Amino acid sequence: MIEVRNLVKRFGDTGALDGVSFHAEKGEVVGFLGPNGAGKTTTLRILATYLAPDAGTATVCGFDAAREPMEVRRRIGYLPEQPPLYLDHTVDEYLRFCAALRRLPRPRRRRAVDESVGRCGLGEVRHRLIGNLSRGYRQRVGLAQALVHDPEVLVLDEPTVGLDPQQIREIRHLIRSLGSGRTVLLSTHILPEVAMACDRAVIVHRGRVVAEAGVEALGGSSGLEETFLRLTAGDPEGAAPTTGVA
Amino acid sequence: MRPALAVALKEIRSQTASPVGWVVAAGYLLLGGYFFFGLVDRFAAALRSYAAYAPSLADRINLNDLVVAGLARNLLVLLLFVLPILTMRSFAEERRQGTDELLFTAPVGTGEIVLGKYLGLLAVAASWIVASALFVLILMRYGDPETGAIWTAWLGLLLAAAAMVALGMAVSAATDSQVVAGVGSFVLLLMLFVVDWPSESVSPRLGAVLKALSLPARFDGFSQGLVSSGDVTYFLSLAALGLVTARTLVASQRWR
Repeated sequence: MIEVRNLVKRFGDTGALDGVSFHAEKGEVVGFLGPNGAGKTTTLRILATYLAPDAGTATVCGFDAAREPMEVRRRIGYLPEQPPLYLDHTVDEYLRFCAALRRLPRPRRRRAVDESVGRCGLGEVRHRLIGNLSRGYRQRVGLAQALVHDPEVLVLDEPTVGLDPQQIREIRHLIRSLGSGRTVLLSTHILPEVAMACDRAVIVHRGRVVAEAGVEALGGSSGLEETFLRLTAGDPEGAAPTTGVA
Repeated sequence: MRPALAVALKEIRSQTASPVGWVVAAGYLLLGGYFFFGLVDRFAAALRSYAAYAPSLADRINLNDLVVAGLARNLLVLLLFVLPILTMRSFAEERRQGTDELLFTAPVGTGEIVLGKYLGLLAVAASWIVASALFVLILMRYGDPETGAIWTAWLGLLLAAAAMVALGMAVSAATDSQVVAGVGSFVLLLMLFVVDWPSESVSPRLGAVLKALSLPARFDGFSQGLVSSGDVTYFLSLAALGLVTARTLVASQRWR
């Protein structure tokens, strides 16, 4: 469902991606790991057709993200690193807008929004302004936006950032439940999250994939941190992965 | 077309939710009322002095020339100040808040996004202009102005707004700072207001070109009850130019 080959992207003189390749099958939940600045967000943005690669291909559901972006956009749900929220809208208004933007026909929109609100636990706040919500709720609104059109492929950039342990657990269950019949690619630097929510993990470091394997093969919930630190040692920014929560 | 409508409604929602829109609308109507009062007062004074000194000429002065046309011209100048505030957010704010990532990764054409924003902002501007017709209603209640010229004057205001909103959006699409967008579109629109000022001192041919480019000169016909296809074409061309520029700029920031 997702096939990334030799992706290269430069921003001026700085290389962000230096030949990233990996894949994700239908029904799989794949964790995309790496220290800050490793190229996670850039890769996801290319998959979501927000950026174009300088070289290489990113294919979603058989469509090239650079050549047929509209086909990819139709099939993907995307939560950017910074949830793209309109703070002056209520949750309900915002999700209805997203459903229309996703070209859901009007009769289906109401139900789609209801389902998405239910899944992400937003029932209590759906008539409140997004600007008045806590960070955790905003993150969930962002997730609800990515789900509202029931996409085949979900690309989530740090979906649990800003959530408390209880919420992280709920989101993890949610992502797990989404995985059936759908492909989920989620980036994070919280390792236990990957161990618990994902089938496989891809570790990137300095714009390259340094490991791609099943979570168990990478050491499971206990050994993953070890593997991660070994593979990403010598990072110039010295960015240590967050291991605490969950 | 449907997503464009959703973008338009979202734009209206954002404008009506923010106090800025209401403050600007209030300022526009307040200043409009102030000008209206002044014009009516001057009209009354003119009537009195004609009645006293030249009763035979009193028929010559009329409500349309002195009050309606004057008010329409003043409202046009007010639009120069308020419309940049309306349009400055349009794209600059999306980029700053990161919501462009939502719009650009949705299965919606760039043209639909630009058109949707335009329709939404134009609807807000039109609501202000329609509200400012209140002054004319007052005039009709107590006087007897010619309605044809009123219709054309307000049509002229709507057409001018259609051009100015599109140009303001184009400037907003070029920057991610609201302030730069606001100041930039004010300067651009002001240029269109003063472009014919040197027309007397340059060669007649250049002078004619400058006159043809001047926005207030194009508006004068409307305020006097004249609708010419040339003037309508002028405003519609400016609107099209603004929209095409905005679309090109947004498309250059988006991956197809």
